[in-house]
Amino acid sequence: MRLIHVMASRVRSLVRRTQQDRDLADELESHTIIAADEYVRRGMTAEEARRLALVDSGGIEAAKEVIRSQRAIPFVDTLWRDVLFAVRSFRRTPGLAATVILTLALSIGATTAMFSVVNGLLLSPLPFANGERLVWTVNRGTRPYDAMSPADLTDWARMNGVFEQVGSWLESSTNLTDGANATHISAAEVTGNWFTMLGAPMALGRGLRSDDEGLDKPRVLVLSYALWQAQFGGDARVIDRTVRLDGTPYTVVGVAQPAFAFPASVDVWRPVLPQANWSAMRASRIFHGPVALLKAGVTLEQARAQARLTAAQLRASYPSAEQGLDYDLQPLREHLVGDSRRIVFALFGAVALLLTISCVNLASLMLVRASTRQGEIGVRLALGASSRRIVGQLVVESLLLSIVGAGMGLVLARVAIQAVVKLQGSKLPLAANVRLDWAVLLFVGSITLCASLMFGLWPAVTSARTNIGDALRSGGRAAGASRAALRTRQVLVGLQIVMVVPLMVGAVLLTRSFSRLVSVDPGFSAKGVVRFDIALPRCGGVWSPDTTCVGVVGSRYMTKRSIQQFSAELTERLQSMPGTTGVAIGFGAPFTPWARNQGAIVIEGEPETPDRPNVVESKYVSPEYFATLEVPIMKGRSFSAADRLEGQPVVIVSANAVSAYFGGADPIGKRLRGMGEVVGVVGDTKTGALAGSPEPAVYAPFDQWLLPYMTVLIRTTDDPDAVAANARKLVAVIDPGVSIFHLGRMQDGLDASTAPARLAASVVMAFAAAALLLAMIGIHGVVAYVVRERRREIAIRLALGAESTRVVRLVMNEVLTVIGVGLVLGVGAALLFVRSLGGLLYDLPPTDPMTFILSIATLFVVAGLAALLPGLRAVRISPLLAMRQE
Amino acid sequence: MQEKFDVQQGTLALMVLRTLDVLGPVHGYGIGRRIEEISQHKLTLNYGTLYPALNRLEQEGLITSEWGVSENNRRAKYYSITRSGKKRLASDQREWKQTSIIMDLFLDPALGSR
Repeated sequence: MRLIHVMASRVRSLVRRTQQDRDLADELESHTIIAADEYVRRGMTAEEARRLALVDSGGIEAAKEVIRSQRAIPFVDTLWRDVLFAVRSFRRTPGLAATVILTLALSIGATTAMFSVVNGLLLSPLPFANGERLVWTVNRGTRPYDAMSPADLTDWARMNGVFEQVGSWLESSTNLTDGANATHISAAEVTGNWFTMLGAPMALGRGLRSDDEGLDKPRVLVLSYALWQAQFGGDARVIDRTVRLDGTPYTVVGVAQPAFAFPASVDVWRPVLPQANWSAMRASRIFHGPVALLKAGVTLEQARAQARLTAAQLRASYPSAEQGLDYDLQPLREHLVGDSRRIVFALFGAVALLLTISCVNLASLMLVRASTRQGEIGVRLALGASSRRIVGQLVVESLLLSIVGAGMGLVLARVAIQAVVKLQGSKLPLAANVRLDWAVLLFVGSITLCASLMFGLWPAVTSARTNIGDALRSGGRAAGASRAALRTRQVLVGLQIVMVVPLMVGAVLLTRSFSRLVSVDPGFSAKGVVRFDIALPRCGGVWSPDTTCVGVVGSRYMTKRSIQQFSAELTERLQSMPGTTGVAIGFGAPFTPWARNQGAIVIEGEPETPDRPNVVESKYVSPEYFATLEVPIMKGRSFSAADRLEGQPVVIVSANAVSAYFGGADPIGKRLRGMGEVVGVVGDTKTGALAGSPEPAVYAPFDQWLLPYMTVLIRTTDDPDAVAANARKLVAVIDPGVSIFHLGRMQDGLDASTAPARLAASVVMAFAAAALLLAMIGIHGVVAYVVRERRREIAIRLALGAESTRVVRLVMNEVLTVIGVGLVLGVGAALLFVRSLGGLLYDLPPTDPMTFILSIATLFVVAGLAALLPGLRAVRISPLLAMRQE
Repeated sequence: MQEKFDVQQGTLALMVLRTLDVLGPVHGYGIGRRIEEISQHKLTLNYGTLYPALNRLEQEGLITSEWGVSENNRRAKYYSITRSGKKRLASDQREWKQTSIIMDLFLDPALGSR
């Protein structure tokens, strides 16, 4: 109790120091005056009275000092003094302070940014209220392309005791129509429970509810935050406003928060329109990614077992419809994070290495600083400062630098995160979750503390051990301690090299892997090809089993004939554009947003094998497709203008489909069920990833299927941007109600697919370069130090006629062994580090010997150069000057 | 920090509390004079002894202070005892009486011959 009182009053004194000091001075003065009054009363003169009163006081300043010490908190007081001292000493050496602060700002900034990503993706809760209880359904059967049917979904919700709710969505493309203008948006038709099941955070209004689902219900929708900002200027009055999707009016009931982007890249969510015989539709596999909310207390394992059981029961009840379907569950977070996990971990490992190297580098910098201050420290030790105080003061110095550096690092990290979220935000479902929150701040605080201890404590302890006599005798340059100081610096340089090796090896691995990846032949030529997508308005993009468009407004593209007219006119007009050498329609063209379009291949007349996978990529293409993308015809013929709606249904298969499904036999003339007769074989193309083997494909003539979706490919010799602008105008001329989107070069898709590999390679390469630079500075420093310390000896040797090569070798010897040992240990460290890169490498084992040799050789040469430069300076020492300086 | 009056501090605190309890609010000069008089000038209190003691008592919340005007029309800081100060005074008084009785017994010249 008493202690608390005292401490509280001392803490108060911290903030009221000057006021209390003045108060005390006033009080003591008043005491003196009253005492003097007393002497005057006894008959003394005023001057004499005051003199006597002061004698009685026993020293006013002494009393003040005692009281001040009573009021102070000793720790804070010394700390404050140390901070002021540190600030003063850094003012004298601003270059050093700036170097330390910048190094820390960059490395702490990079580490913080990476940690925010790790935190947002893997540690902090999902931006949905029910995040941890949500599971994603994966079809692991032999028919992985099959989504769930409405009937499946009903059964899933009904049949097992582990799910509280089951919900799903299907994607649709539609146009936001405002008068004559149409803007393409991507929509999700979701089950009515989608928002409540996920616990979706709303920015405005409400989410969708189960009672919004139903044909007789008013049409409502929820806007994404991005669309609200872009199309409605963030106006809060958007609620209850009517917007039109391909002519059908919808009422806006809410705006989702930016963090809620699920499914990713969706602009609006609207309730799915249940068709009349909804729960009996077992074969319409339309629902992607069913999500389930586990009942409280149900574990993932229990739910998985139940899911398999339910799938087995459905297969038994409906053998034909449910064949080859087997559902497994995974936590929703795992699905959302996906492959990013590996890359994030690898980059975080790399950045942590960089931070450590920076700290080691700063440690040797502080060591140099400490050695130049040995005189000062020696004097303070001699005057009775305890070595604990000296260490404390030096640590305060490094802490101060770290805090400033970390502050700048935080700003850098914030800028970096904002840039990444802005660029990639819409594509990453958890991007909005990546931010500077308390966990990140805590992390920054602890790495800052660790960093400052790492680079501050060691040099501090070394300097505090200074031998007073030596320090004073050598006038500030400690001769006696030089050997120990050299050892320390050698160890630090060695440590740096040990950590540079993994970064270098990682960088070379990723770079080599990336260059192999981009030189992979995708099976087609993207050069000079511009592409865009069109979704012809039909039933407002809503899924409908036929062309009746129940519940929504229809359009002029309800018949196949009308689609054919549109596509024919479009092709013709595009062909007449200057520079155009080919125009093709290819729904499912590789490396486009709609590339992946899996279906089944069943050869007529052959026994069905439900246990064998029969997945192919289905593509609906015009006759010019193969020529436009330069996909070779290997057998048979390409499609022709005769392959139309009225003609015989035909298909073309890819070469690898022949070996996978026809047993390598000649497929020409065989028939695929539901598709048509095989008339040709074409080369393989990769679908959406350059790594891995090309997926087997089946091509059907666009004119025989006439889907309301099409990807348009234009091969041009003109500037792609000009072509794109022209194409937009041309489409508007044909029908202003149709918008084109996903407009870009064919190459963009390829680049996007290799973007993560490029990012990983360039980031790790940048880290490695920075680390190498730091290590070079370290090596250079050691040799320069040796040259400086042994100048006298070198001068004598040179004067006595020693060969310059011998002298250079003499000083370089001090660091070559360290480099050698560092490289050897570094290889060990690298072998550990590259394990985390395993999944990121294409066609390259993590332990690729060539990479290791290349990296080590580079490091050795660079390190050698860093040592040689100051070594050569040794030879230029003038014996006369050197002797005179001593 | 160095406190010359360490040995004395316990007793000085008690004297200050007792003075304030008897006299009511008094300024520092008055407290010093009163203690010197009561001790028949065996004790002299300079600033370095008196004011740290007052400061500590105030930090412990046993006394409070307030600026006021003296009888000679001088500004002075007046100290008064708080409730917890009175409690402390009572318990310390008891303790000191006990201690002094015990010490008297020990230091009684008759003790050695017994």
